[in-house]
Amino acid sequence: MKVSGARYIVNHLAEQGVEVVFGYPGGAIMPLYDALIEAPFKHVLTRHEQGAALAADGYARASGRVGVCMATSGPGATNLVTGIANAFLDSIPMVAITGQVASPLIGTDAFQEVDVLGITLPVVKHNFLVTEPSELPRVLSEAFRLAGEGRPGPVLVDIAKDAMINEFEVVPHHLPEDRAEIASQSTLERARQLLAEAKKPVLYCGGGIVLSESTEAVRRFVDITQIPTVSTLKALGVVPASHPMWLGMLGMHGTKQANFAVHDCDLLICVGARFDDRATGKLAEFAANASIIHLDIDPAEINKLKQTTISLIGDLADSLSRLQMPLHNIDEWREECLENKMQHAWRYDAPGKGIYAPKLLNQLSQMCDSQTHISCDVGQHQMWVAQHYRFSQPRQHLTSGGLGTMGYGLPAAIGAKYANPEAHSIVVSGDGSIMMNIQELATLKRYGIPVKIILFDNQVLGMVRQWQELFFAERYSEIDLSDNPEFTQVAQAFGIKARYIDRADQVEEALEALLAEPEAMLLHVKIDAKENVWPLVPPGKANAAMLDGKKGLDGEKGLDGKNGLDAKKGLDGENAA
Amino acid sequence: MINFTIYIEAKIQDAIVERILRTVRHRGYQLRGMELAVHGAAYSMTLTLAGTRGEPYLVKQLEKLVDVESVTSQSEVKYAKTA
Ligand SMILES: Cc1ncc(C[n+]2csc(CCOP(=O)(O)OP(=O)(O)O)c2C)c(N)n1
Repeated sequence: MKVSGARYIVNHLAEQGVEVVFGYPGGAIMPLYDALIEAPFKHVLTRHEQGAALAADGYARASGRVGVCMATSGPGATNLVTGIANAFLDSIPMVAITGQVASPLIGTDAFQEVDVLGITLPVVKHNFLVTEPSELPRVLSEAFRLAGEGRPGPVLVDIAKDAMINEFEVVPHHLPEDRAEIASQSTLERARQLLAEAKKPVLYCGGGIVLSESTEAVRRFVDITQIPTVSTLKALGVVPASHPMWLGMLGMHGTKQANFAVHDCDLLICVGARFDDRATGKLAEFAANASIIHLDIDPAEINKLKQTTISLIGDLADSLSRLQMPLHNIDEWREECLENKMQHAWRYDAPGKGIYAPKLLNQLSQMCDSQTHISCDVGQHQMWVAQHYRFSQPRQHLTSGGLGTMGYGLPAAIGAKYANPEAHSIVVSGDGSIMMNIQELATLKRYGIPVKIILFDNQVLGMVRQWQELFFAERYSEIDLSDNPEFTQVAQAFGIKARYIDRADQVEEALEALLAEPEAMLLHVKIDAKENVWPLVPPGKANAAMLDGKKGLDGEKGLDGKNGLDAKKGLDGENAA
Repeated sequence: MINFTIYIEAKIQDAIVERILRTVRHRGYQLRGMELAVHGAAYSMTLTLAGTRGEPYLVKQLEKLVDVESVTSQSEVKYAKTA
């Protein structure tokens, strides 16, 4: 039987098990929007294509399934690009479908024609241009397989309008079976020997664990080895924050105990992480005296930045289960790490009547269950979430790690709510970031999506202000947001409930009310503009040279024996590269 | 700077030559020479390159490109393409 390309696309998405598509229509993609009227899955009309791509990303992260977004040619497609790049840098499985001008017009500078294939080449795992409907079965099958297999990533399918309109005889495309790759036994034996001999081993968990659904294997590994464990931003929740061996996040805004452990270890087992500069600080001093075992599915990550002693390329869960063993000789090391953990535990006794964001986030995590999704924007508030919300499950925390996309939080929370309708979906945003995709409040209203928004308002671009204060001699440039709109009124104009608080004694009741509210709601929280994120590893410095900044409060000392504010002086003239 | 030559076989598919050349540029290598021939449904390319990051770093990135079938170094070491 013959079908149009557009009808085939809808049927194919349904066969792939797609539940929801996020998108925005326009000229070149109209045949597909026509066919969508009969689609068995939902379409969510976001109010900007960037919102559609980021919602698909949030859906994928929260569910583990491929997120799907679509847009028209030209400006629709270019508006998707930030969301596609966001998925690319965090290896998120996504299929993005764009309409393209009709094939005879491609290359003629037609209305709304841009070379989307060319524009997106650097930010996709792969992309396709379809000009014949008969190519659709193969291309769409491959797009979904590529998006999800191995190291996941976004795949873009650009489809000429005539390929959607014209009919064709469907010949189903069968993909060859996937072959799971596993590490060789001889390499594993060498890795086991290194582990058995280590006196100070550390497990360094990365986002690849979440992507490959290897959380249970990691938890078993930690329970059997009782190895001190640190995590990247993207692996928060893999090992629950309550686990005795968990030392917290490493890196630029990591915990002292995590950074000290990595600095001092003699064996670092890196699992599904990629030695990102935000995690390592000065690379030459990162685990400088350690042997390194690197487990990853992507061979291109091995020795990319840090030379490894042994690499285990293949399925993470398989490698971990063959590597694990009880470690009898590391009692002293465990004690040292746990002593550090106790000594550097977070403190929430900030003086004053104002609201202290870290404390609020810690309270929030005590009030929410382990299913709750927390999506963040980018800035100080994002780092406070990573530090102070105690994640216990891997897909709870949705954050733009690689690209650091302001505006991620609200669309991602929408995606998460479609992935997991029963769970709370909470956005933690800043007064800068929220404005980047504020239009998606209309999406909340239209579909009755009960996303909760906690908006930390410090009247500045806080993270930029912090860097200007510390690394640009307090020369503040273009960070003032004191003319923000009245956010509660903005929300109300979109039909969303809203409330403002500015005193610490209001927090508990306001959070309770926010969580109890059956509809979407925005909680506008005023915080101090001068509050900074601590600890902080200055750019270009080793992680062990963290600044603390809390002189007078707890007087902690960094490894260099200086406290934060003294150490800051040593940074004069240094660039925040 | 390390100078080296690699030989690539790739399916003739959308933008494959652009993908290869983009990867070369973005990963920090300079193109010093290039030959391209069509053999049936495949391209064979010989690239002469210079870069400070050395050959294996680039080879691994090129092997990730979906339509690249194999990358062989001038020294005849065949890099096995992994999924
Ligand atoms: C789209 C985008 N533009 C610019 C930046 C650079 N940037 C990083 S954090 C930040 C400030 C964010 O301010 P806000 O959302 O108010 O959060 P705060 O740091 O105050 O918590 C900026 C401008 C970015 N990450 N993303």
